[in-house]
Amino acid sequence: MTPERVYAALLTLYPKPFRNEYGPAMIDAFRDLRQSSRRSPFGFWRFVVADIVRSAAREQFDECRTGSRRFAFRWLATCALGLTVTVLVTNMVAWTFSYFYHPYFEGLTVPPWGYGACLALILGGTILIGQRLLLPRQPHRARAWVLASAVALPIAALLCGSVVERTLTGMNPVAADPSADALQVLLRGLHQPKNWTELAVQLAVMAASGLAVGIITARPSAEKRHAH
Amino acid sequence: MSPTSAEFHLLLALMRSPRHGYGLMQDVEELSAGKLRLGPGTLYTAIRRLRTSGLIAECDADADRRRCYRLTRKGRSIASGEARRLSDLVGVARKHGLLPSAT
Repeated sequence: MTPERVYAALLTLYPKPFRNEYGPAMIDAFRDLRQSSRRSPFGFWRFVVADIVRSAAREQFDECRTGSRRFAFRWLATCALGLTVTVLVTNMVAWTFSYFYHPYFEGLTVPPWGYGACLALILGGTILIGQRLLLPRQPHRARAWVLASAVALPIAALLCGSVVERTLTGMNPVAADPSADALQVLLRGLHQPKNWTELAVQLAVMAASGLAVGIITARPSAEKRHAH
Repeated sequence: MSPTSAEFHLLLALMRSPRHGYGLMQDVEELSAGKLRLGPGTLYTAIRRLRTSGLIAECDADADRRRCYRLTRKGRSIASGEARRLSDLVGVARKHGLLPSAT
C-alpha cells in the first residue's frame, strides 16, 4: 500500500462534501510534502496524522453546526432537552407527592390517559421552548420533525420506564444491584401500566396529545413566512 | 471576521502572488521562520473557511494543473485590519514593558 493510498484512506475522517472538494488537492500536497520532508518516517506520519485528526474534528464540528447535519443535530438536542425535562418534572411530582403523603391519598391512582396527557403537555412545552431556542430558522422539514419528536419521545420514555420496572420487579432482592435503585429513582415518576390495555391507552393519549401540542406550537416554515 | 493565526499567515502569503496548496505551506513556514508548519489538513480546512468568507478565491490552474488561490479585495482589507489590530496590541505590550521599546 503506497503512502498516498494510506493518506487517501485517512481522508475518510473528513465530511464527504469537504473530501469531494479538496481530497485530490490534499493528496497532491501530501505527496509534495512527503518528497521534500527531512523528518524520519515516524516523525513525518506523526505530524500528518495529528494534522488530520485535529483538522477533521474541527471540520466535522463545523459540518454539524452549519452543514447538512445541522438540523439533525439540533433535533437531537431538542429531543434530549424534552426527555430530560419530562423525567425531571415527573420525578419532582412523585417526590412532592411522597413528601406530603397523607393517609387520605391512600389508594388514589392517576388514570393512564390523564397521566399520558400531562406528560405530553410537559413535553409539548419543552418542545415549544426547544423550537424557539434551537430552531430559530426552521427549514422545510422542521414541522414534521417537531411532530415526530412530540410523538416519539413520550412513547420512548414510557416504554423504557415500563421495561425497566418489569425487570426490577422480577429481580431477587437479595442479589439486587445497588445501581438499580438509581434507575428506580429516575423512573419512578413514570406511570407504570398494569396491563396491556392501560399501556395502549396511555400510548394513544400521549401520542394524540403530543401531536396536538406539536401542531399548535410548530412555527410556520421559513418559506411560508416569506410567502406571507 | 477575525482570522486565526494560520488563516492570517495564509492571507499574508497570498499578498505576494497567487499560490497553490503546497506553495502556501512553504510560504507560511518561511513567513513564520519555521514556527508554523501547516499540514495539508489544516491548510485546506483554512482555505475552505477563507473561500466561504470570500477572503480568497480560486484562480486558473497553474502549469501543473494544480488549483491556485488568490487574495480578494475583501481578503486584503481583512488582512490589513488584522495587521493593524496586532500592531496596536504590540504597542500596548510595549507600553506595559512586555516588549522592549522600538526606539
